[in-house]
Amino acid sequence: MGRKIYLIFFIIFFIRNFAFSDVLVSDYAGEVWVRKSPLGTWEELKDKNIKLEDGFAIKTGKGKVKLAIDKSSVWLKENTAFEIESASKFLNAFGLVYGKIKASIKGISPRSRFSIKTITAVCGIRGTDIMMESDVDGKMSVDVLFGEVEFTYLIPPKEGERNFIIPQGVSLKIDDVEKPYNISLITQEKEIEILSNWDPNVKEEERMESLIEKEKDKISLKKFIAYSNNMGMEINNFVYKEKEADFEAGRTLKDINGNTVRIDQRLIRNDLNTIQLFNIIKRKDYKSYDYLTDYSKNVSGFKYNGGSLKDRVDIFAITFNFNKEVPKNIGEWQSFFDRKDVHPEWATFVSANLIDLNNVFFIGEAYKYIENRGELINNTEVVGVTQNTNERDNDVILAGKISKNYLNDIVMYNFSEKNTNNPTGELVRKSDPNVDISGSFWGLKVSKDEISDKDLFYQLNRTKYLKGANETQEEYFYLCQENYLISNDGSIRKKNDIFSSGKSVSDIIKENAIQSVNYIKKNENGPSNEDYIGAYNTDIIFIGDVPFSIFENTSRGVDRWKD
Amino acid sequence: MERLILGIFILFFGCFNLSADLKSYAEQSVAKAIAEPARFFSELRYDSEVIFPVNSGKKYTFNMNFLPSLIPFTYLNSSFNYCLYKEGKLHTSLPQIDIAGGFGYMIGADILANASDDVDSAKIYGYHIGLIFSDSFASKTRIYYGFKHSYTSAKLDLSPSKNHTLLGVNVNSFETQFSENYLIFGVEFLKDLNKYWSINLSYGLSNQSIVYGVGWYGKWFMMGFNFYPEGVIQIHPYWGMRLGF
Repeated sequence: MGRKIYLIFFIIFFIRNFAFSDVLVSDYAGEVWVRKSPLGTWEELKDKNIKLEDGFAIKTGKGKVKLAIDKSSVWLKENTAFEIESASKFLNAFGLVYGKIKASIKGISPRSRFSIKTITAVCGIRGTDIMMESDVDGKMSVDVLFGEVEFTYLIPPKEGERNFIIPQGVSLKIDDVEKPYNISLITQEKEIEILSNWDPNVKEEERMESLIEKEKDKISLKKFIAYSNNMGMEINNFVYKEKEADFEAGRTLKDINGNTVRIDQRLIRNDLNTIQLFNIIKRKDYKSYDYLTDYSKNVSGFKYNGGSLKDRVDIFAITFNFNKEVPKNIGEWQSFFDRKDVHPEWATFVSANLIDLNNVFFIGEAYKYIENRGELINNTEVVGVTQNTNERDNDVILAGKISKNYLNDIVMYNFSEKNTNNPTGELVRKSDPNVDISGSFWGLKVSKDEISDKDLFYQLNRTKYLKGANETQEEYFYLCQENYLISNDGSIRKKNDIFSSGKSVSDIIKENAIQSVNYIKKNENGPSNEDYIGAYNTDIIFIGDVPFSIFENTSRGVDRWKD
Repeated sequence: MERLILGIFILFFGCFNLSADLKSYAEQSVAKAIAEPARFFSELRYDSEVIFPVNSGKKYTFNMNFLPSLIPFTYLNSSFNYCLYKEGKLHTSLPQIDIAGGFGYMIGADILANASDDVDSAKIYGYHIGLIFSDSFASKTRIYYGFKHSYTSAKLDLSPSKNHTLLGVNVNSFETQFSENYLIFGVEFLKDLNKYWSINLSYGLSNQSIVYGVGWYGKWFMMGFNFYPEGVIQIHPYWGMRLGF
């Protein structure tokens, strides 16, 4: 028995709270009448907060009303008649017999329906703010400020669709039920009218207060749009600065030997015709090793004899000199390099170990532009020695242990063979042949062997050179070079780490580096583990950040000189 | 790969009588594209990623970019924006919520790969998915904002008859991807019946990239410009179909 009572109370409570909507007269002013049934008589409204049941109607003369339907509101202007057909959570159906209303519909559940019927049509309101006007002749208008209205003719029209959606910002007007409807954008006057305060007892001067706030918001939005329109210029300036910054990079990583390495890389302009990619490789501690990896272990020529070092600095400079002034604006480089009258005069690639400034150990290559061949060539002509026709552009290497003062001569291609008629392999300044670049020498490539792997990125090169390209003195030495593609934690990369990584090229560039360790070794029927000019190496870490940016900007142009 | 990208550029620029500046610009673009192919192909596809909110009165839109994604870049593409929730239906402060998604597959990559000696096959495709929220600022003005994930993959199988090596390692295929997560901000204006214009700004969180766009769209078509200040081709005019249901 008790359970049944609870159940009955629950059902009543559920129906009361979840099935029915209350339509309350929340406020009114002036002449307002209420009719309690379709056949009933109109009674003057004398109190607000009265509830309007299904079948009730309310009309205004020289008065206004605000109805509250749960969270929604409907305002009636003067000379308006409005009927309550059904008020529930799932179906709110009303009738606008004549007059003008504004409806602000909120909090309707997805399955419920809120509709207002006129003599001509039914408007299903899908939230939120609309204004409707109707008269007994069938003329009507609907202005949708926010949301949308599903419009359905009660009697199918002679032309056009019976049922359609009126979207937000659009007005529909029917002046003659026999003629097609007119549809247009909502006018500013109507927009202001809907947005104004329709509460019955608000003073006329207070009706526009909320609109002033809206206007302030509009000014903010206009500012945003103006800013967006100017954004092109802003962003282009920003990007230009970024492009300048693209030519500077820095990274800290671990090398193969476990040393922490700081690399600073930047593109600099030595003079108007010369650009240089300059890399500084700094290590606080440089650990000693016999052989750098298991791959070079016990391979003759790759033994390091220099021991551990403190505050080690290496540099690697790639320098290009052109026959024309290089534009200051990087954006113009592509077209500059693509000009047929522009070509490099020379280029150098120099790595150096700066641990002892009086004995800078360096290894370098130089290239010279040969006019009649239209290309950069590395052969004996780079040191001013006419090439033997049998040599077939065999490479020339520069190396030595020199004072730091001479390093710039090597980098800026200010050197030549001391005795070009009978080369000895010693270098002097090109600008002043009386000045020896003491400790430097050059050699011509004789042979090369290479060890590499199919899957792992490492390469061991052992290249034999003839000092001074002079066969009579027969002094040979070896450049032993071990190259590794490493991650930022110093592990050697595998093929799949790069080509099947599924990463963007720029990410691959940022996550990898090339470590190149170079030794100059004696010749003892092959490369010896003994050093040719002292227990030195150059240990270069090369990052691709700046070269990638350069390649992005200039690759089509420099393509012409790649051979 | 270079030939593949060059082929695409020839298709795009070849029909015009190129001035020296434009030619230089095109060449610079090729350089950038070769350096970062997946990003380049992602930009070509970006124009087909429609981020405009579903119009008031419509449930979803079906979109296809004709220029430049389909012609000349041969991206078969379509995208779909579906309105999950209409603004103000349950609560006035809840914005309209649209889900956006689409794909693009470059059929021209296969054709151009066949014409290239270096590339045996090429598969270039991508997709995007996102959520767009839109709030009515006024009856004819909506502010929209949201998030979009965009992904592009470029997989190249190099010709086995050619020997491509890097530090002694044979390279026979190369797969590169580009993904970006964009934050989107925009404003849409209703200018006439079924005629809108919109400006938007997308900020890529992963690569700190910026794209801004101006678009006009109506009952059937959309057109406009997307600007990629850091992109390979910095201005993309576009034209496509956008049908609302």
